[in-house]
Amino acid sequence: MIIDCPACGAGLMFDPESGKMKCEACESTFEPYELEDDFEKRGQKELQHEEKKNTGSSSGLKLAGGAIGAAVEQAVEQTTPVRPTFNPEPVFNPESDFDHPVYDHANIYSQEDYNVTDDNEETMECNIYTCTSCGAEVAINDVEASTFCSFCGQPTVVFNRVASQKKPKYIIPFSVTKERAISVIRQRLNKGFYVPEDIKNFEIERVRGIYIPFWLYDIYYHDSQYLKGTVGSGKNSHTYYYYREADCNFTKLTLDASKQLNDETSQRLEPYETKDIKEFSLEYLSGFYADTYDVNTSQLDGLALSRARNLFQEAVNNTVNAHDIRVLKNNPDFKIIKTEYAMFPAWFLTFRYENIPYTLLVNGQTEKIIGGIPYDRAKVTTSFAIIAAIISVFITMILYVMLQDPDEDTMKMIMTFVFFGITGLGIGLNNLKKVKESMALTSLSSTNNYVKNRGK
Amino acid sequence: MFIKALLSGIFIGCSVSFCIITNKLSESNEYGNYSGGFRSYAELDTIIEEESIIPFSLFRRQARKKQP
Repeated sequence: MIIDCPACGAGLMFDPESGKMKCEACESTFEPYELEDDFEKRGQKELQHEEKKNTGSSSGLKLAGGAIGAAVEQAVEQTTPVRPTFNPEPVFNPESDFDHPVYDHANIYSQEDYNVTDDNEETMECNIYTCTSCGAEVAINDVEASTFCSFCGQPTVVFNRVASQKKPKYIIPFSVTKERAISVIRQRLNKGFYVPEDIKNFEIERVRGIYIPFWLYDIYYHDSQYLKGTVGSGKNSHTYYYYREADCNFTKLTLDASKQLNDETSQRLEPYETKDIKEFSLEYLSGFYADTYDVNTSQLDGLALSRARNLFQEAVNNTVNAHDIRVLKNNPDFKIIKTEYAMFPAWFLTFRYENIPYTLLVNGQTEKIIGGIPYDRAKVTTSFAIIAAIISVFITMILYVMLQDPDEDTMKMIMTFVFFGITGLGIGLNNLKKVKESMALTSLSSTNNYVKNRGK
Repeated sequence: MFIKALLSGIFIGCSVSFCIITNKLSESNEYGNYSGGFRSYAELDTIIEEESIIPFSLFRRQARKKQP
């Protein structure tokens, strides 16, 4: 349903810059919580109306194959699954060269193939939502909570999804506008020496502000550990043993609650400043896309505890003034105190390069950019060749002079040079691996589909 | 002698150049590494800290005696 402006009746949208609800038509602004009571009442009325009509989002339909347009047409007309009629008898074609009957293409499948309960059959589940602005029937997926009408473009909140079924406890509203997100990305790309010119002047294919569902975990973690570490290096190194026993209370440890969004991508969006977290209100969703969770806490508990354990270990290792730290023995004790459901903001920006879609993300609160950009191969190769040539000539001259009169110190110096070379190779390979991983994440088809499969 | 110096020089030059270029590439083209570290979520309440250079078995025996 649309959130109407009390002044002029046009649709209201949440404005990240002012943090208020803003009317595009009359430019009036309202505090989000001001409209909450009216919106809740209207929402409840509409929910009752939809249930009476029995064409609301509570009736999901399974259909065999077909595009979304066909699904919408059939869904509007029928409310129960339909088996198509067919004629199992073959149609004889006397003009055929074969002496066996020719089957009409449309009748080639048997009754069993159209069994709608068959798990192997391709089906598409869609929910139909009626736009309260233009009356259009809009198909939405199982998790969308806020979207735009494909026909009139009005921002619309799927009231029953967030009012009763899966209501979040908290939300961090968008504080970064769409224009600011685009500007931040362009500035960053323009600074990149190895970013191809085509990408610096990219044309945006799609920009979406999406509220991502997260589970927030409060976890108590206690451990007593014996650790071993090395102090010093070479001949002056010693092995030390350490004992650490500590308590830790994790608050609002974030875990992505969406199956469609890659976990690595959502982790890189962190950290969100939870001091800006607010009590959830439907008004914040207007003007943005939002998804409800489709991963339950029972599926994430193990991952949450694993994250807590890794973070705890990181903190303990920081109290040990040594390197090569190993845990020899530990005795962990932990408890999940509570879990809460929240929505956090992110901008998704898609562009194409060499016919491959890339999706950059911007944290909708902190402006942190996530992604990996393809590089200009010619520039990279030229830079590498020039620097390698200069350093090679320099090192060759030094080594040639040193090798004229080799002694023990000279050989040590040469071994140090070689050691630096091997270390540089290792660091370089590690850097290249990280860049390639970031690029792979940015061009992931699941992230592109997460953005693409939405109304407007 | 010259060949040895040349080959070593080329190896070291290419390795160092590779390290420098990939470092610049990472700064230029890679955005937003994971940074949600421990401090984002909690403070560590350390109860006991012990450290020693003595062998592990002795250390463990001593630590056990000190535990409440």
